[in-house]
Amino acid sequence: MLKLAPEETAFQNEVRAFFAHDYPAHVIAKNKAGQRLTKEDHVDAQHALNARGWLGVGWPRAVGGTGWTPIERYIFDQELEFAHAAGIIPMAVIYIGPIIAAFGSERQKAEWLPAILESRSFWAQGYSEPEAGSDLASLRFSAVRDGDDYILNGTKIWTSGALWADWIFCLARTSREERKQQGISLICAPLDLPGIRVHPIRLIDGSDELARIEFDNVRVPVTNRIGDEGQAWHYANVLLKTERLSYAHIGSKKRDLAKLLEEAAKLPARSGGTMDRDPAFRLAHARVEARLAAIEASILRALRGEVSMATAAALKIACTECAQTITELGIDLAGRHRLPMLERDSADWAAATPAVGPFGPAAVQSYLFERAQTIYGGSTEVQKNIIWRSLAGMAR
Amino acid sequence: MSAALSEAEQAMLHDAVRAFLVKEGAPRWPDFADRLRIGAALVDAQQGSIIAEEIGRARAHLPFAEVATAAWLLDHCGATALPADKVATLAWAEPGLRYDFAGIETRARRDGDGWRLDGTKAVVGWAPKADIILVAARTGDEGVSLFQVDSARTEGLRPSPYRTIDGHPAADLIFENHSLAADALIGPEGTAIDLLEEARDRALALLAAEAVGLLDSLLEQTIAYTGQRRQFGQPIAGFQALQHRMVDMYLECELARSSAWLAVEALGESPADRARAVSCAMVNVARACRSVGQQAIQLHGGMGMTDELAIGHYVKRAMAIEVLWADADWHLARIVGL
Repeated sequence: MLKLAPEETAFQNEVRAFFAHDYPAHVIAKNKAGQRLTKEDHVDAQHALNARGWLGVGWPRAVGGTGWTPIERYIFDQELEFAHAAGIIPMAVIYIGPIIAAFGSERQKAEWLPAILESRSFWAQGYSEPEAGSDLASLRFSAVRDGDDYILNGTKIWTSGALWADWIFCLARTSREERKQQGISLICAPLDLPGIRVHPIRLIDGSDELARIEFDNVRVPVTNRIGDEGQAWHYANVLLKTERLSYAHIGSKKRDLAKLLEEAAKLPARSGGTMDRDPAFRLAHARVEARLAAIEASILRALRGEVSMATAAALKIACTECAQTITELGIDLAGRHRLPMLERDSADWAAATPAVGPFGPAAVQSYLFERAQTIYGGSTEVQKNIIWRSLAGMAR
Repeated sequence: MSAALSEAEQAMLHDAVRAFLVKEGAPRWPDFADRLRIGAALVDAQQGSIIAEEIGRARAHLPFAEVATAAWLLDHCGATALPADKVATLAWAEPGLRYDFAGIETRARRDGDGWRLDGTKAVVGWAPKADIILVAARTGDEGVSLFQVDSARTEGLRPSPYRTIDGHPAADLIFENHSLAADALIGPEGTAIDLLEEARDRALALLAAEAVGLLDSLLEQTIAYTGQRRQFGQPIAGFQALQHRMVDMYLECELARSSAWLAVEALGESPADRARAVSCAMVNVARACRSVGQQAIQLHGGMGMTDELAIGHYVKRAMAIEVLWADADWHLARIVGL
């Protein structure tokens, strides 16, 4: 399947041409230079995709989605990443959009989905809590019914993109009687309601795109609940499977590996020459390439058939660990150039270190930021438990 | 050189430094140097390694390894000793070289009785706080020499200060026709490379010792956190998969401790034996810094990613130790080449 069918090749060329000609060039330039994108940059990027009908990835065509096959989706993702285009912020488009489309009310579909496609609303994901990370069954965040409203109380944490978001979708406990996984509902709230406070969390790489969000007697209408009361565990699992496969990012891994070779050609090596001729670096690079080839083949196989939870979990581990290995290769290549810690938000961040290439400080920040890949979306340890549950069946 | 410390004296030094760092929180170098009377420890590797280990454990922002390296170089060259409360650092790295001193391109040429300095030094640790900067520069076609630069004399010296990942001050230094007096040259002209190699090995021994304290603390913090953090109805330290990860961390800590001992012990040996032992030690220390750091973040989950928790700052110091003087690949190549 590594060879594309003729119509798939045609689609690939179409996508490639789109990013080359019809996509905001300033977004690509910033991404290539390692600068952080602003919300306006993301809005520009999403507008361009939406104008082409290509923003609602994973959504059915009936609600404005692309209706792509998994392979078309894969080709699109890869070309987007090759082009250094902005990654689609996943919270609204990739995570909650398909759930609204599948389980939401007609009113929710009519109001929320177009607002997402037109970039009028950004969303945040309210899953983790201080006492419930990968163990989502331990959620405490509560939604208590009061007439036609729910009263929300509790704390959500590790909320990506909360500073830009207008809405949040939360897993909330609506009943305490059943099994811990039961009695959880999926409830949405606009982030500007009274009683909601957003606290940014500064991370080890110097970014602050995550937040902790406190809810203190926040009142939302019952019509903000997606699907049936107490059924969020089921919806969340559908969502988590999509989310886990969305971590593949094969295109960006290939792009980042190629970039390492480019940078290596600029860096001095031991005893003369440049690092792209350094045997230790080349071997380490080749080792990751070989690994990535197997991961890509696994993803393509998975996209051809029905993906089991165990497969999704295994691929989540493989893809995230591979991404971390690439960033590790980056800091190894950077050597002492990894030492400066710069504010990437400032305009002249690269000029602050005249004797150090801008690659090093970006490499170390990526390395630090990507440590989270094996923690979020269900930690590696939890994925292994999921895989074992399916393997254990063989032992009986 | 001072006489070797007895075990009781070593324990006393450990305790004194640890107590000082716990009490001070954010110690300043002059206070640290004065109150602990570290003068002798700057040139004595055994005492130095004890101090470095405690600095690592506390993750104290102190230029100990930098000052000790400069003090040893001054001492070895018979130059006037630096008062212990002054900060000194060595500028060797440049954009055009990876870790080999032979690649130094900064150039000092004679100018009357004195010298003129031209070139760029990259990521010089503690340079913005340093009273004295020792600069390694090429003199003539073959040799490299050492110069003592007064950082207060800024004519012909363009510094770009910033912080490094471990929060320490650093700077890139661009010298453009910077004038130096005749006595700025320390040691014989043109023969500094062997001296720099020895200084590097001594600095690495101190960094290995610092890593011991740092990694011990990472393991202790991780054990404490996993004992408190509850998921799936129990402290996560109750899961065997996590226990084994912490056991792996312990193993790396033990090997780092032995490596630091090996490196310190080897400093008096012949250059080849010294280089082999220090490089073997540092390959293990680099590996320990990488793997213990990664495990510590992973086992802390999302909390390990936050700037607020100490864990990430310890990990970033460990990442700096891996490459301040050379990385594991350089050490492996040096072992192979001996």
